[in-house]
Amino acid sequence: METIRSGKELCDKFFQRLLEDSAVDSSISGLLHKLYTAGELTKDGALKGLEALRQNAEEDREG
Amino acid sequence: MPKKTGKVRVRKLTLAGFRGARQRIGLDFKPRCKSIVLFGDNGDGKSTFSDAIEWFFTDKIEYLQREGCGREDYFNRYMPSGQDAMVEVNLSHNGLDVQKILHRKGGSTLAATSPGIAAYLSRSAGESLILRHHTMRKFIEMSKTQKLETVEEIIGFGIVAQTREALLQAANALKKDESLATLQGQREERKRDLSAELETTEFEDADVLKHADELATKCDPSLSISDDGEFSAAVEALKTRSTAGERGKELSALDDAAQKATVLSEVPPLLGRVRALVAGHNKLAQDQERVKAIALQKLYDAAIEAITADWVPPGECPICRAPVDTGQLLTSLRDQVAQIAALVTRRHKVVRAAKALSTRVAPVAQGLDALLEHDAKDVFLTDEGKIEIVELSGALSACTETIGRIEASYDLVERPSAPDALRTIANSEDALQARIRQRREELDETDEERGFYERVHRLTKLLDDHLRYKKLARQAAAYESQVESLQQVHDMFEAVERKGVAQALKAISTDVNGFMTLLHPDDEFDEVELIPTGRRGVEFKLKYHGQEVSPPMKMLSEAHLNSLGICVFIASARRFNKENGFLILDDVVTSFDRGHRRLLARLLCEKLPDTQILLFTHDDLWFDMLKGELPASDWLFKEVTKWTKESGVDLRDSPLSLKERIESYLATNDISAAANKCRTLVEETLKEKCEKLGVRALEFRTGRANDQRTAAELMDGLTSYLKQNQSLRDKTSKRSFNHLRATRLVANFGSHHRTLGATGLARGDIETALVDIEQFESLFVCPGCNAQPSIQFSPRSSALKQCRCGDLKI
Repeated sequence: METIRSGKELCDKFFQRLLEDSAVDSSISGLLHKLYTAGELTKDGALKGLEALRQNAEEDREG
Repeated sequence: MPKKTGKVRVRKLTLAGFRGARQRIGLDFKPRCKSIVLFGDNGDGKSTFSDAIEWFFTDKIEYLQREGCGREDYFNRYMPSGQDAMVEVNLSHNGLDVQKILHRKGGSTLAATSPGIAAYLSRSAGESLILRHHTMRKFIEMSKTQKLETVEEIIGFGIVAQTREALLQAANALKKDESLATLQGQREERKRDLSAELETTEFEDADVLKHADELATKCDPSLSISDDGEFSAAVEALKTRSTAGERGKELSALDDAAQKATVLSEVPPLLGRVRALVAGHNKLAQDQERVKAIALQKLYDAAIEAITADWVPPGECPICRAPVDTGQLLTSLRDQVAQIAALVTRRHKVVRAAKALSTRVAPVAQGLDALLEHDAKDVFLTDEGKIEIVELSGALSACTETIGRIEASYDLVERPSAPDALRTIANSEDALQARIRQRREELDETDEERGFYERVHRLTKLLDDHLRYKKLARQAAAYESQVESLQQVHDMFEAVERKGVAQALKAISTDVNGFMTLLHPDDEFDEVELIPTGRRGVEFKLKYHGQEVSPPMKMLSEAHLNSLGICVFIASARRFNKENGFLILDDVVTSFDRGHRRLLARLLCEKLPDTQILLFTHDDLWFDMLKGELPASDWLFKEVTKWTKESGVDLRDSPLSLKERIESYLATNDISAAANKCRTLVEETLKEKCEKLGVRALEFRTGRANDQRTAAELMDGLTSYLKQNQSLRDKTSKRSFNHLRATRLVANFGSHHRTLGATGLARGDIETALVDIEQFESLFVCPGCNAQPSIQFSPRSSALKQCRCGDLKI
């Protein structure tokens, strides 16, 4: 009988592959992978992480 | 016995005070966790066992909940009112022995031998364990989206759905972020200014630098601009040059003042936006009753959970324990929660708008203050003008405070008053710009000077717009790129999810198709599939007599739809129950005809050989059929005895043969039940003889169709066979045939009047019938080899069939 991947297996694999996907902005894939691994991938968690990314990028540019 | 697959099975199930079980009662599957067929008439309490398992695993009994029953209905009605109910489950794996107590005072507790029980119960959540008659078509009748959600739940895709939602919500929230809208607005404003200077709507950085280079060269041919650094340096040099003399300084200051004075035109629309914000906020704040209710949201949510999870008895308020109409209370609580959610959404919108507005008010207020501090203020501002600007600046400061209060609380705030200066602001700005122009004329600029200062002014503004536009564009692009990336990740995730669901659907479909064709070999079912529909949906598609049907309700009968329900349940349990190796089928064959029931038994044996099945039925014919069909080595057969309020549900082992069953009925003086079984015994005996002898008229109907023959039909077929072959023509044999005919009539009579209780049959009639059946059977048994003549032992061309040794030919 063919084995069907569980939801967790599917998510684990997706976020692992996302890190290696050059078509996706690496800062975004890194953030989402980190949030997923920490069990914090929620709307609010993602928005907070994205805001920090924008601020860091702006500070790097100006500083 | 089910093979060892590592999945959990039930060793023993014990109940006391739960549903129909008043006294302590146990279903014992030991020592090998056998499957069971449990027979009981309707109302005798066999579902008590499936209810107990459902409550044990889920804390509720869903079908009772739907009927408006609450946790007090889980207690046996006739036990002492202070007594708790108990369900004890002994499982096949070490340490998984659990006693769960349902307390009268509310709640339940688990007493387990292993701390791993919580993890086990958590892993078991969502597994398909119980199928009941009234829920078997639930899946089929769901909407396409509900079907998909159910499939996702069955295959453990809850985490997938949550992750997809989080990605989508984050992308949408980012797209609608007020800060992004503000950035985009400011970017467009700067772009408009740049377009006006460049006289084109489409331009790039190089176009701006080229234009700046042209302007700078006209001011000073030695200047050259090819990047932002050179642009800034050139503007700085030109500004220094333009302010070198007193006259130049003043002209430059006037240019600066003329530009800064434009801030005045921004004040009226800004104050209008603040007043609109205050109006929206105050509208919310006026509904203080609902605002205060926000603090109660958690309490309302907890109360809803307490009611829906049956933590409180129906009719009792979960907060104050006062008597209430639970249905009405639930509706009211849900209504309150929905209203609070709407209020909170509106509040978030107001706060977002306040934040966006505060980023505009501050720079405009600073612009006004800059005018008051300007080096050339005495040139372009009159005393009244200064007072007006102070007034406007004060109004904007008040706005800043108001916005802060709006962000901080739901309290009503005062609407900012419109300063008198607002009415004259347009005239003031015109007068201000006129005074600047007049002073310029007084300074007696030459055309060349005017051109120079104008170009320096344009270059200064161009540099400011250019740098600001680049920054705004970069900041907005950072947002937009994140939105795009999130959307991209969401789409990729959804594609992977679809693939995963499709894989699961394919697996379920393969099984369901196989099961349906096994259950309905003559009905030409084919290509039964669960297929994805639209963006978020799943539906059945199948071929029935070569014709495509979707959804199945279009064409399939009740029995077919029930079959489909059973097949989906078995397929999903077989594929996706990772933890538990047992299933409960509670009265699921009610709408099946006899032939399909036997096929269902075969399906369970063939397709679920590793699964412990707990099969409950009130159908005695099927129960007897199963005894013949299912191996006694792997299966237990038990009966629920007549329910009484004194002892509640009780069990007994079921006799394995029909004769034993008839004798057990006679022992309890249940003559009508014995007569009913006697009729079945006559039919089974005749059928067996006909099949062994290959009675011609019956040859073409085997298996399911054979089950549907009547005793009279079988008797006629057998008589005709014997007559044709001149067998058993002696007087003793003929007498035995006649006795069997009489037995059939007697049993039919007793059986058909059973429900009316009008049978006049006596115990002796049944005992005689049993003797007659035994004598009839003995006619077909060889005294030498003790075997019956059968087509199995006979040459193919022989009309007569012989026994194993060949001594008896019939």
